[in-house]
Amino acid sequence: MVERYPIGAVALAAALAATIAGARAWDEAKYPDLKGQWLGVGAGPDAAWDPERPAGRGQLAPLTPEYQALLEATLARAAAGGRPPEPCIPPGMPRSMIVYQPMEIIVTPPITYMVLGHMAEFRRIFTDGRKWSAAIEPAHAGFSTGAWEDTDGDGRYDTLAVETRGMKGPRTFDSSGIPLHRDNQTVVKERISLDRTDANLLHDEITTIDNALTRPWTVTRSYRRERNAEWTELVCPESNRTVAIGTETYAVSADGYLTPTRQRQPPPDLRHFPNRK
Amino acid sequence: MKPGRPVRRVPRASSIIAFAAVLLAMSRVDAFDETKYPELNGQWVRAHPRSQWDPSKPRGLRQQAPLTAEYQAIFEANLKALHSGNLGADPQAYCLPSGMPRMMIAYEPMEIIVTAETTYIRVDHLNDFRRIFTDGRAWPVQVKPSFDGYSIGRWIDEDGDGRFDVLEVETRGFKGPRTLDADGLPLHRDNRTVVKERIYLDKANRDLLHDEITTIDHAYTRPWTVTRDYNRERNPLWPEYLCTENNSHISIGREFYFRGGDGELMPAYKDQPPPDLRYFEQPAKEER
Repeated sequence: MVERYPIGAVALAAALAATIAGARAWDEAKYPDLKGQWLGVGAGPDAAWDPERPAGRGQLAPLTPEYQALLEATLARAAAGGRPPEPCIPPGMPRSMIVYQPMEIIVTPPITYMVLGHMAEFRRIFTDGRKWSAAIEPAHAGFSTGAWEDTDGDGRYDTLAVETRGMKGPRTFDSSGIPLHRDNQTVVKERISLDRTDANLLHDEITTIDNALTRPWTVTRSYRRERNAEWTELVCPESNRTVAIGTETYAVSADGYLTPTRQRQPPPDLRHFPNRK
Repeated sequence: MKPGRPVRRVPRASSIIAFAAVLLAMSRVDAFDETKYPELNGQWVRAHPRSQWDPSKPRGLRQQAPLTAEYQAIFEANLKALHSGNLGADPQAYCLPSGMPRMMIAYEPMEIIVTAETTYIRVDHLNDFRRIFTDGRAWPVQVKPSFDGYSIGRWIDEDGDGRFDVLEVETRGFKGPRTLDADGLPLHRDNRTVVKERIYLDKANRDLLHDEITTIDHAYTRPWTVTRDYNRERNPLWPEYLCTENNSHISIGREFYFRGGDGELMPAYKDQPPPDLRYFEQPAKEER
């Protein structure tokens, strides 16, 4: 059999193919398209951690007796005198993933970034195959490693599996005050994937393992895509005028005076002001 | 064709080239060709240990900032207040973001994420986060004011080697209060600042980044250009920086106080009066 290929054409094609290989430093097409702005579904300020259940006791959080008692005390305080204002401290993981304000996800081969408008939280999920470091400096967002998975075998990644450790506190699951253990040994496992039938809907299946819980607690939170995003800068200290002095949290009024945040709250200790009246 | 001698059909040269060209075109759709962009991965740490705005000159009045007479007077008042212990001229004292252009001092480490449509700059200090849109968009009719402003950029291949080497950026749409540095170098209260930047790697040292920053502002008599530099750390750690958690400055009304080691309120300067507690029912606690 005689096969005659035009040598010049083959060489040119090979050169073009080599160009392709070089250009494909990273192949975006292998990853799910997560561009745009993601808005938390049911993510109002009072959003319950498990969106399938009512807030507070209705969450049926699998708390140990000790931490159930802590929750009951928090709920009783809130019922008696309202909830104290929250300072500008990020909620941390896993509560960050309620996504109170819009989120952007930036996928690169070594790191997937989550940019959260609320409290300017910023998650780095390392997908470069790194091992857990011996000592993790505690952070509200923790330290996250992830792995992209092709669960349906179509040659494209569809799920980001993430594990997060190394948290610091205090943290709660939601604004009702469902507590996490003060030892901050929380481990959070997530499976993040686009909806199979709606590519503008993202799901995060979040499993929290914590010593305040009797068993791992899994909830699924969802996010809706806005493709024509407008990004608004949110600066908590600009609008939140709470001030922590001693063991108390006060507020600063619009006219610039220190004010109590609860009934019969004692004023601050002024021992360091020699000229106090 | 002679019978008995099978000849397989060989693709024509034009078909082979066309097929390869289609493949190339497809790859351009699907792939972000990062080889066209400078490699900016890692952590960028400011090269200037001191944090005055123009790193080539001493701080304070010796910056020789080209201020208008009105804003020179404001600057001198800010310096005087600073020396007496009042931090009122520095918005960072109450954890407001540095905003542009001051965030490019990069008090804490900086990360740059390059994608085809957007280059992101994150500075951990006060959580400043910039989106520099490089997708060819026009300026929006209205920009919602922000501390970091709205940035449009353009990648340029200056030396014609087929790779981008300079990111040119223009930023507008600010809100205040902002200053250029901790000494209180002011920006005009009209917030009509325009910041132009040229960001590029050093030709001889790929772990050194330059940002040539020109600030155009009504507080200044002319555009003011400074160049800030950053060294790359390739194996970074990213500790969480939380101003609101660690801030020892407390702002109440027009006064600044300190939070002492015992957590209680302390004066920031000699003979500073304590805060007015008119909204409290009972007098302040005496010494415990």
